[in-house]
Amino acid sequence: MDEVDILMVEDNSNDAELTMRALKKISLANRVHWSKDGAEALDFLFCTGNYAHRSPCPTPRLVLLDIKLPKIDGVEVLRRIKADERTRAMPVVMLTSSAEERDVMESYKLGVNSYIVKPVEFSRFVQTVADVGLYWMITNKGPH
Amino acid sequence: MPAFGSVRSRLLAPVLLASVPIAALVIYGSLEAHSMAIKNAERELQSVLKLAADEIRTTMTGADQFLGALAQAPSVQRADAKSCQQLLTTLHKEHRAYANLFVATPDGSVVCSAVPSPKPINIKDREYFIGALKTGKTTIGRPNIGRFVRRAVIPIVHPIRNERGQTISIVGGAVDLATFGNRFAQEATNRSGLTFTVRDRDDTILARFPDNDRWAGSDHANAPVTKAIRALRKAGVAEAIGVDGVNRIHAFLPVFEGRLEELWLIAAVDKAELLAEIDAAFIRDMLLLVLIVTIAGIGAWTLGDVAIRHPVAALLHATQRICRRDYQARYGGAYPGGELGVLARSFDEMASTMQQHVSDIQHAREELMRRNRTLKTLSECNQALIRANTEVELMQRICKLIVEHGEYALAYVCATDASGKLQLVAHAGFDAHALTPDNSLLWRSPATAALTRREYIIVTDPAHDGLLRTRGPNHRELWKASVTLPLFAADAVIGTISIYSESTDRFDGAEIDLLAELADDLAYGMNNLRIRVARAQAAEEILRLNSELEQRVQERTAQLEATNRELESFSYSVSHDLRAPLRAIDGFSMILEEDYAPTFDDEGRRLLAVVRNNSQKMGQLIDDLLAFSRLGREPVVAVDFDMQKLVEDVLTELRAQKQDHWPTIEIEPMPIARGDRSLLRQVWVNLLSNAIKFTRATTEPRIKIGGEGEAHERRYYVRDNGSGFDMRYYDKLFGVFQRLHSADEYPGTGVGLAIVHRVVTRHGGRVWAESKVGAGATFYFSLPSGVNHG
Repeated sequence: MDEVDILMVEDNSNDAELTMRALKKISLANRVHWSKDGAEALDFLFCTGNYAHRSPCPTPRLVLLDIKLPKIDGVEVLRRIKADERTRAMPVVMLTSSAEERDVMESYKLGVNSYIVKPVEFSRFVQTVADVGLYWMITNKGPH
Repeated sequence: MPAFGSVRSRLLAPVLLASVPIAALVIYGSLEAHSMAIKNAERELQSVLKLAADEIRTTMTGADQFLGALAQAPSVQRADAKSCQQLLTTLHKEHRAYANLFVATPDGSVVCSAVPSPKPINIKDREYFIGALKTGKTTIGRPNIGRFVRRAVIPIVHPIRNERGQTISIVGGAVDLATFGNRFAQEATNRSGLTFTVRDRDDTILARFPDNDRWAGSDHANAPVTKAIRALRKAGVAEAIGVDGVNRIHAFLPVFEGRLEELWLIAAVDKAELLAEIDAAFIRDMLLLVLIVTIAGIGAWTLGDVAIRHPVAALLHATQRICRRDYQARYGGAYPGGELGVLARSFDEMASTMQQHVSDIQHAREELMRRNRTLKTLSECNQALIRANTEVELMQRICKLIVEHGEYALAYVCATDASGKLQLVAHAGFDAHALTPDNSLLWRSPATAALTRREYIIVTDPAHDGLLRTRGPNHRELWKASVTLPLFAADAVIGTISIYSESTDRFDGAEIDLLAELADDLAYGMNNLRIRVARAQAAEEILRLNSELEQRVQERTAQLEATNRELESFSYSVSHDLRAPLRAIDGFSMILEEDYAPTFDDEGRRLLAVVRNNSQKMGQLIDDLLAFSRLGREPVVAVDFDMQKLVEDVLTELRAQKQDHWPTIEIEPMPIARGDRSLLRQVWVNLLSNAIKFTRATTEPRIKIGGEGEAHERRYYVRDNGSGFDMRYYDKLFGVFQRLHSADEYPGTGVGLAIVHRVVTRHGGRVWAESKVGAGATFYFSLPSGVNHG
């Protein structure tokens, strides 16, 4: 498997497609792995379950995490990411529709690096994703 | 008793004192009498002397005449011895005044003398003889004690001259002084103790009476009397010791003063004798005085004893008895007269009054003690009221206290049961008097009467008390009077209390008042206990209800919480799940537009735009709805913060979103706000967004923002010069989803102002606005300065 730069955890395929489109615009699309639910995301990150064959287990450079996810929700995933030594340093950006104060606080408490509310308007959405990707992949100096 | 000695002595004292002036008077009188007597004696003596002197002079004059007559006798003239002798003798016998008569020849020899002499006498050497011869006149010689007559005489000679003037003979005589003196003394006075002395000029006693023989011829030049006379040398009186040693009052008188024949006559009385009577009288008087004083003294003493000491003793005795608190003491006996009687009477009165007072005090004290007992009982009962837990306990205790502290014989309390019938509930004193209570006989007791009459009943005749009458014959000695008082709670009689006394006089007005108070307190206590029981029950009920209520509240709260949670999750889903499809709609339609643009004509593109617009709008609507609903749930946390800064922050944010056609903003200073910063932020966002939105069409858009603070609230405003709104639709301004402009003119969901209204209202403030169509609008809101509530 290729090096994965970005792990996108999103259960809504529409949203996923739109996100991909946005990332494509800034040429980041080809190294994106898409997990449809929290459990799969964790399997992927920790190379367990279906992804047990992945070895070594490199961590992506960015995680775009939605909150409302089946099986294990985004907050839980965040918690586990930030609880584990191997993945703690990895930047996690919540990219979610929820503007709920509670979700925001919870996420920051768990150590999320950024919290983005998905705008409804497409162009804005695209812009936002592009900005985010650009920032975290290019502008920001990652822990690697 | 020694104490009274002084009273009697005091009586004596005046007596004795009175005797002093009397004694003085007597003494004075005596002294006066003395001097008076002496004066009288002197006067008498002097007059006696005067008489004697006169008589002597008379006698001498007589003698002169006699001799003159005798000289005529021839025998005498011839000096014939024989014949004259006879003559002389005869005459001598007749005239006793002469001690002798004689004739002498001129040569001095005595030829004849009445008193014969043993031998011839010659008198030529005699002064008088010489003198007579010389003068030829009658000459008186010096008094002397005749040689041969042996007595005091005054010689007197009468020379007989012839025609030629020759003395032929001399006739003479010796005037007898002694006899004269004696006779005189005896005649002149008849007083004993009188002495009569005749002296010559040389203080030789010529004659003295009495005891002439003894004294005649003696010379007492040195006798005190002599000295006294010599001191005076003239007539006078003197007190002196006489020649015989006896103190006499002397009076002396010279006769033939200055002449040869000078004589001193002295008459004297024995002073002691003179005064003897006076002295005796004095002594007598003094003795009498003493006697009188003694008698008076005894009389006073006795009088004092009887009139004073005895009554005083009686008074003293009575007083001492009173001191020993025997107030029945009285004077006793008849009242003496005068002040003592008044005193005794007053004493008796005072004793009576005192007795009365003491008796009154005694009564008052007894009454006080009785009252005290009852008050103490009342006090103890009040304490029992506080401490008792049940009605029966209270009543028992009260009865016991009445009997023990109040010292009454019996006490019992009856209470009305539910049906209004009396029941004997508590009693005291029954055991002591072997009484057993019987409820069935209550109808006969005064308790029933008190219940029906609703006032207190006093029974003084045991026969009228039905309850205790049948207890046995000796109960009549147990009590003499009783009082039964009804117990009132509000207006109802809830029982009675009966109190029995062993004396008849205990239930006077004041006692009844106290017992009535006791009854009231007891009724109050009983009532209180009932209330307390009811209250306890009520409290239990309340607790029960409370716990029920709490349970229900808990259930409701749980329900509400469940509902809340549902709502929250609902909002959450809305915010999350609704947006996703919207995003898809907008996104994919955008993709469609981008990717398949060439295949679309204008109409197609327009249709797509509509689709996109609407999805965006829906998204906005959802956001607004969510915000609005969130406001209802979140608590308002009020803090003070800088409002101006908030406004500036909001403006900066808004500006970032919309760069073009940015209006001119004027920010006036505004006061610190007290409220929820994030909620108020929303308010400013909405108001300022509106202001910006509605000035979009204005050529020179201007927005003014400011505020002012007052004591009770702070007001803020946003003024724009935009399109304004019609005041006719003011009511709809702050309604949810109410819009005063069409969506084509000004986009917006109509929730913004509703949100502003809700937030400000939740802060306890007000929102209002003014506008004129085409002239802009001003939106105001106020926030209270004090504590606001969520």
